[in-house]
Amino acid sequence: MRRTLSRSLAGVTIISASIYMGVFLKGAAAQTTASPTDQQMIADGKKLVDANGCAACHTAPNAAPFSGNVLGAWNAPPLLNNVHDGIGSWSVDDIATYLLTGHNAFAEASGPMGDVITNTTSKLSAADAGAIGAFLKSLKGDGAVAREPIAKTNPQMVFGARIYANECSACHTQEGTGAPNLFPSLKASPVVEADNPVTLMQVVLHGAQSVGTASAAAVAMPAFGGQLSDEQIADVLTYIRNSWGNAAPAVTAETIKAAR
Amino acid sequence: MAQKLPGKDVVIIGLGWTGSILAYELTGAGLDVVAIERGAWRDTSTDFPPSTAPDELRYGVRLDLFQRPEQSTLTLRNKMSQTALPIRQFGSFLPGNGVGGAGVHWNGYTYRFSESDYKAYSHNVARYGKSVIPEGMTLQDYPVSYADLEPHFDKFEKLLGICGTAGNLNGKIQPGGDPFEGPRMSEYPNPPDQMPLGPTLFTKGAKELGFHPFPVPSANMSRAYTNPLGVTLGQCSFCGFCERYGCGNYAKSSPQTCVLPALMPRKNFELRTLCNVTKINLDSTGKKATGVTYVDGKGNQFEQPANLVLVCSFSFNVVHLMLLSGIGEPYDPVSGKGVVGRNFAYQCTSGVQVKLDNRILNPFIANGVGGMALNDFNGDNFDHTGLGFIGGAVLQATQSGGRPIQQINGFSDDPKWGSGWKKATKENYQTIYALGTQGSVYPYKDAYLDLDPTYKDPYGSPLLRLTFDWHENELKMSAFVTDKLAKVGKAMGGARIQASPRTGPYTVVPYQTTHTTGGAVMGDSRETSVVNKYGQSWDVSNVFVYGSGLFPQNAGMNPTGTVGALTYFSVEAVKNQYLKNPGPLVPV
Repeated sequence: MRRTLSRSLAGVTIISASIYMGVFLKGAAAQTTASPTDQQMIADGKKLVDANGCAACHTAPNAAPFSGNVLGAWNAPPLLNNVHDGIGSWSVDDIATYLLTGHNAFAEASGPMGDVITNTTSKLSAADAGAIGAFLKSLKGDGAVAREPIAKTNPQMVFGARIYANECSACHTQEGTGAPNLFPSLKASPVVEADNPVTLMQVVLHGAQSVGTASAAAVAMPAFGGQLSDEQIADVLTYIRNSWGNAAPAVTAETIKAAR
Repeated sequence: MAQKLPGKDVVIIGLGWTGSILAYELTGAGLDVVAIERGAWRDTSTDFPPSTAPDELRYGVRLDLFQRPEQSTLTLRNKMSQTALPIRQFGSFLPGNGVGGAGVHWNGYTYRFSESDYKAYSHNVARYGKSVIPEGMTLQDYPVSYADLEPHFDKFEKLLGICGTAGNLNGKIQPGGDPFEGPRMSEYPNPPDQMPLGPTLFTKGAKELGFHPFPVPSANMSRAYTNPLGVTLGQCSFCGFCERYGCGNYAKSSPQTCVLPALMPRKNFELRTLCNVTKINLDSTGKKATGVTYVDGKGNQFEQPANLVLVCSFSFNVVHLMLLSGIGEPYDPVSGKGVVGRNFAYQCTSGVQVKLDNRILNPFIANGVGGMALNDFNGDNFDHTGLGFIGGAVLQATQSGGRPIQQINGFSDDPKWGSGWKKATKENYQTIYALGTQGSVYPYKDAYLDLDPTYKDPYGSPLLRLTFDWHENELKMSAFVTDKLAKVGKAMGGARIQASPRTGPYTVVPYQTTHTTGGAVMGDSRETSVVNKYGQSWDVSNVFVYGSGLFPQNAGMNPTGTVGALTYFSVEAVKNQYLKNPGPLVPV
């Protein structure tokens, strides 16, 4: 057994424990046996982030560190505390849970990040995953101000709402909240409001399977590429990107056509 | 010639509810397990995505998820004097097919039988005397009690995330639950589903009559739920496509949504689909199974050796396989000797149509269970003195959908076609509510399963033959409970009531229920049962049987809860006793 401790940082509880992951995830009360400083946690996290090469995917060439990138058909979202497309809504615990299990209340890992979770981060100790969370939460946001969503009366929004009710709401709910560890939330999701909606298009066109780990099972979303037209997918994505507090540029049918 | 494969610790025949639970538990105990499944792999997102799963023609009418008669069927006759004919289109019952089995296409009713149902023979005799058992009825007790099964019910309900309201917590009657249920150690893992208008009116009417309505325990999730295996289910959206359909949004408990995501990644588990087990092989003593023989989709034959053979298919297939493999003595209805195929039972259903003028029922807002029930006239919850029958039924107001082809309610004198039908349908769709009963069926000497002398399956083996008809006890029971249900319909505000109690003879059309039971029954004596209380064959101790084929008779409620509890009861004994010391768990 390694040390077990509980810390508070930036208003959130960090359970930087190395008790077994399953116990950690069930929220077992962690025992405090040591008390490193916040700065120490952040420094530990930085070392892990550097060593694991997170920036290689999450930073575009010549861009600010961790400001996000597009890799083929997938977003590698900014790891900054951005309002729209970063992890500003996530707590340290949310980040740690995502890294360890591939799932949390906001997101389900799939695509290249699914492989990273399977092969690397699911094998981290809970302490190390917490340290990474602490480091990422210490990063600033991009300073972007809140955007105005597209008006509900916009034709794309009107048609998108109907498609969403028919095809999406059974799982993601009418409010876009999804279900923790099962259906990703479409609110406060780093990929939903990304300027370039590649992950959204990828998942809707071709479907996706989230990663399965020892403590959270894999879940899959069906493909809609054969069923919905370019225009319909553009409309529903525009609706998703501009509902429930989200705000992001409209998606055009041409963009969908090019992504097929 | 069969190709002999490397041996496994365990071979599981059929990967439905029981097979997947056993595979999960036994791989968890470190055993090397292979499951052999006749049907195809099925997966929520690829096989029943929400936008294509609600296809009534494909699934409801053309029965996409079910066993095809050309794969295997059975022959049927009502009386022993008749010649049985093959069922060429399934009707009154619909055996499942493929990974997940009936757990994919079910509605999700997850009852526990009453305490006295597990002691149906001794309880009735003690209360009413031996004369209450009619001539020819072969009623017998389960070899386990409700109390034996209680912790295993609890485990099964938590695996599935059953939604309901406890009626009896540790002996204390709870408001809003079923006061007739046996004591439960804990509340249901999830609260009951929201109720549509029909069940709401039923509750009001039933209470006015002094009855005790409660929410039917349901596998349609009232909220997102993560089970003890770490598998998460979503919230039901009341789409109205449960029974005969796969659930597209992970909201109905099934092996796919509760067990397989945790089971399939295990390295010591292997699944072979589209492979049909044709025989359980025995050694030269006939007392030990050596494994199974199966045929794959290309017609190649394989022998899969295993130390332990778990028979987890649908009840008919279990009995068929036992007979084809020569495990246990086949039942002979003339001499009354033998056990395999004995005590087949069914469920005796009936309906009441209630016309509720000036109401808008919106029947399409529905989930598989979505309703209320009362057990005031079930089992021995009421005094049967002078009634001329024993047993009973759950009375239900459950609304599984308003699907256009198969779920248009109407009265028997409504026109069946043309403009008259259209007019009636327009009037009825929003205003007729269909209530139903699920009645017990007790076993009889002349209701049984054996091998057909004439008809064969694609592998050249005789088909299973079912000899079954209704008996006076069940028809009287149906008349009694249907009349009570009609009274509830009246109290709901029914302007017109049409009650349809069950009448004979038994026929394979129309659909009634897929709750077939018995034929491989469990008991305390090898004279009256095929297996002991753990489902272990009296004759071949490394063969265990699961599912409703174990039931000595059928109670007046849906069987899945008891199937699950018996499975957990058995696997605990397999893990804790059998594996340490293989052999009979009950002295023969």
